[in-house]
Amino acid sequence: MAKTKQLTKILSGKIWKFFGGIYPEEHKNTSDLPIIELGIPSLITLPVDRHLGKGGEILVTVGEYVKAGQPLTRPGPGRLVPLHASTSGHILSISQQVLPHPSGYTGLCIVIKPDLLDAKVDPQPMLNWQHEDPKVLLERIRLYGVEGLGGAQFQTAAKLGSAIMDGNTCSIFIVNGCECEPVATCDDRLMQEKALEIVEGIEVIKHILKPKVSLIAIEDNKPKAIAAMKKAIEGHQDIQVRALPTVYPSGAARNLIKIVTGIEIPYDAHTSDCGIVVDNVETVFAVKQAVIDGIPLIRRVVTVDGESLHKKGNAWVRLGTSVRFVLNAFKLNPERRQRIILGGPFMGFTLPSIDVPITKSATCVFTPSQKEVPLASESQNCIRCGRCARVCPSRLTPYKMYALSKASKHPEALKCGIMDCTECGCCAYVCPSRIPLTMQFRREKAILHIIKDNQKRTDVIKERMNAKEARLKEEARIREEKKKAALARIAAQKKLKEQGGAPAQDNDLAARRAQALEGARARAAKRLENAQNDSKAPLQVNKIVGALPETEVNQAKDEVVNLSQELKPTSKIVLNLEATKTPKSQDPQKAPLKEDNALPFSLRRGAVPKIAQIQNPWTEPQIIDKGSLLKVENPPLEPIVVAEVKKPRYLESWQEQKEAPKLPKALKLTNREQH
Amino acid sequence: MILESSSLNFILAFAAVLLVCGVILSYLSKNAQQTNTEDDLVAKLNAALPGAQCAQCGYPGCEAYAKALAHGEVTCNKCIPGGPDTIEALASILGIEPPQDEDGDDYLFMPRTVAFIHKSPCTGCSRCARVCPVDAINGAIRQTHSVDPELCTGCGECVKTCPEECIEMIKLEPTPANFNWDIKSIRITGGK
Repeated sequence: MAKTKQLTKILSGKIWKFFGGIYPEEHKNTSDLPIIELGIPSLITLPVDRHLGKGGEILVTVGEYVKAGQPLTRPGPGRLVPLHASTSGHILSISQQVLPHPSGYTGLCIVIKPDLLDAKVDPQPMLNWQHEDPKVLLERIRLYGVEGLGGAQFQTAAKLGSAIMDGNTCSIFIVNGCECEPVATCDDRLMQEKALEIVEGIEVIKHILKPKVSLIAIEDNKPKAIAAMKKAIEGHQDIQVRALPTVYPSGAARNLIKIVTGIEIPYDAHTSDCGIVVDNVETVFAVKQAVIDGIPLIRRVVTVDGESLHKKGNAWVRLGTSVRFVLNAFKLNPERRQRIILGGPFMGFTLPSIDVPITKSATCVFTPSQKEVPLASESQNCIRCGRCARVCPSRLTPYKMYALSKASKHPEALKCGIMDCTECGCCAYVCPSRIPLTMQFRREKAILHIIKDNQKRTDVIKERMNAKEARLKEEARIREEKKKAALARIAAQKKLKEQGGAPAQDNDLAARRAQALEGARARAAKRLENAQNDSKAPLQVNKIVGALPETEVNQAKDEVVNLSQELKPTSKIVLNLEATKTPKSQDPQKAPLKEDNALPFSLRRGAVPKIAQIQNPWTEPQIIDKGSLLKVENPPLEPIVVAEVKKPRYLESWQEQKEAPKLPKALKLTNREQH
Repeated sequence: MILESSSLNFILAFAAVLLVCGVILSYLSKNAQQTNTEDDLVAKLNAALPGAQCAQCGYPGCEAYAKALAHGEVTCNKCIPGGPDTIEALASILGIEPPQDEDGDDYLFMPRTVAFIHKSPCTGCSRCARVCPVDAINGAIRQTHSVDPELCTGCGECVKTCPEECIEMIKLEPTPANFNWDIKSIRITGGK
C-alpha cells in the first residue's frame, strides 16, 4: 500500500533531495558542438582481461583477418561479455600493453592493424523483438558486448537480469542522463542527436523489465537535451522526463534513485534488489543498437575538452583507439608538464602515458592547463571542521576514515564504512586543508582487497597443508602395517625352520607367480605375432627363396624345449623359444629387433643408457696463429710509413716536466714567486 | 596454665601446619610455572600465527617462530601473511607493545615471491614436490615439474632440496590489483 502511495508521488513529478553534494564549476563548454566521427587510427589496442575470466579463451590468432564487430574472445561464465574488433584488419599481436590505469602497468591486449577499409560483419537486426522472450534479449545484449558506459562498466545484461530473475520484479526504470561530472558532455550531445533511438532502447528494456514507470532523469543545466527527449517521448505515456537540480554527484545510481523516487537504498543491498534499475543513456543507446540494429558495441562518445586543445568537442571513438590519436585529432598544444586526465576531473585519474586505449569506461579526456586546474598543493593537518562529513553523499565520516587509514587501522576503517565510499571526491573538494581524501580512500580500498585476498589464500594454504599432513600420516600408517605383516611372516618362517620343517611354500605366492609368468608368455607371443604380421612381405620372399625345411625347425624347437625343462622357465628362455620358431633365413636385421621387442619393458629399459654417450666429444678450439691474420695477401709496393705519434704534454707526469708551463706576463704572480 | 599451654600448643601446631602448606604450595607453583611457561606460551603463539608455514619470518615454520618468540629471540612483527592483526595478537600474548613498523602498509603492495622451476635442467626427480608443504608443485616423475604461483607460499623449501639447482625464487609481475595508488591527486577548485 505504501509502495503505491510512493508511486503516485513519483508519478506526480515530485523531486527529492539527497544528503550532501557539492556545486563545482561545470566546465561544460562542448555541449553545443556536434559529435564528430573520428577516423580509423593506425593501431587498435583492446585489453582482454575483462573479457576472459576463468575458462575464457581468445578466438583469434596473430595474423588473422578480422572484421569490425567480430567477436575476439569467448568469456568464461560470470558477468563477462565478449570483446569485439572495432575495425577490420589483421591481428598484429596478442601481447602485454600499457593499460588505461593510473599505475601504467601492462596487461594482455589484442592489437589490430587496421586495413582502413572498415569492413563490417553483416548486422543481424532482430525484427520481432517485441515478441521475443526477455531471456533471449538479455543473451543478445550480453553477446553484443553491452556494458555500462557511464563509467563503472557493469555488465548491462547481468544488471537487467538480476532485476527480473529469482522472482524479483522491477517497478521503476531510470535512464541516467544526469552527467553530473564536470567537463563531460557526451550524454548531453547523444540525447540531443539520438533522442529517438534512445527512446527505442528504452522500449526494448521496458519489454525486458516490464516496469511500472520509466523515467529519464536529466540535470537542468542541459535544457536542449531535456527539450529533445521531451519531444522524442511524445506518444509514450509511461515514459517521463525529469529535470533535476544540478548537484554533484546526482549521477551516482543511489543518489539518483533518492532524487527521483525518494527511496534510499540500504548499504548492503543492490539497486536491483529494491526493484529499481538505473542505466546510462549511452548504455540504452547501445542496447538499441545491439537488439534492433544488430550492431555490437564497438564505439562510444568521448568528450575531449581542456584549455590546452585547439579544438574541443565530442567524438565517436572506436574502442581501442589510443588517447594520443584522439588528442592529435583535437590538436593538443601541450604546456609544460601537461596533465591528461582520463574520465572526469572528479572520478578520473591522470594518465601516466597517452599511448593507452580508450575503453568502455572512458567518458572524457580532459587536458586542463595549470590555470584551469591548478596543481595539487601540499596538504595541511586536519582541523576537524567536519565539512567532508556534511557533503558526503554516502553519509560517511571521511575525516575519521582518513585518520584510521593513515594509522593503518584497517579493520576499524572497514567498520567505518569505507567500502560504501563511491570515491566521488566531494570531501577532497571541500577540504580547507587540501587533504587528498579520495586518494587515501582508493588506497585503503586496495589495501582491504589485498588483505581479503591474502586471508583467502591463507585459508586455502591451511586446508591444503592439513590435507597433506593427513595424507602423509595415512601413508606412514600403511607402510607401518606392511612392515609389521612382513616381519610377522619372517618370524613365522624362522619358527618353522627352527622346528625343522622345510619353509612352508606360500601357495598364494606361487599361484600369483605362475599367473604372472603365464601372462608374460601370452604377451610375448602376441607381440611376436604382431611383429610377424608387420613383416609379412619379407617372409613371403623368404619362403620363395628357400625357407628352412619344417623338420629342421621342429628339431630346433625340441632342443629348446629340452633346455627349458632343465632350467627354470623364465621369460628369457621363452623368448629364445619364440625366436627359434621364426625361420632362420629371415632378414638378419630383423631378428635382434624382434628379440628386443619381445623383451619385457623392465628388461629392455636397462639396455638403454640413461645418459646418451657423447659420440663426438667437443672439439678443442683451434688456436689461430695471430701472425697469420696479420699477413697481407698482396703487399703494397712501398713500405707504409707510420707517422710517429707525439705524446701530448698533459700525458706526461708532473715529475717529467722540466719546467713549469710558461704563463703570459700579465698572469704571472711575480711577487709571490719572489717570496 | 593449662589453658595457656594448650593455646600455645595449638598456635605452634597451626604454625607448623601452615609452614608445611606454604612450602608445598610454593614448590607446586614453581613447578607449575616451569612447565606452563614454555609449552603453553608456544602453543598460544602458534595458535595466533596463521599457520601458513611460509618461512618468510626466517624460521622454518610457524612453530619454530613461536618458539623463538617465546624465548624472546625475535620481534613479533615478522609474520607477513598474518598482517597487523597477528602482530597485535602476538604482542598481547607476550604482554608487550606491538613494535612500530617503519614501512607502514607498503609491504602489502609488494608482489608475492614464488618459486619458479627452470624447465631445461629439471630432471623430474620430484623431490621438490615431496617437500612442498602445500602441494603447489605438479609434474609426473621424470617429467619437468611446474609451480602453481597461486598456491605457492614462497617458503623456499624446494630451492633447498633441488639437486639440479633449477628452482629460483622470483617476484611476480605487479598488476593493477597491487598498485599502491601513490599518485598526484586532481584538485578541482571554483564553483559555488
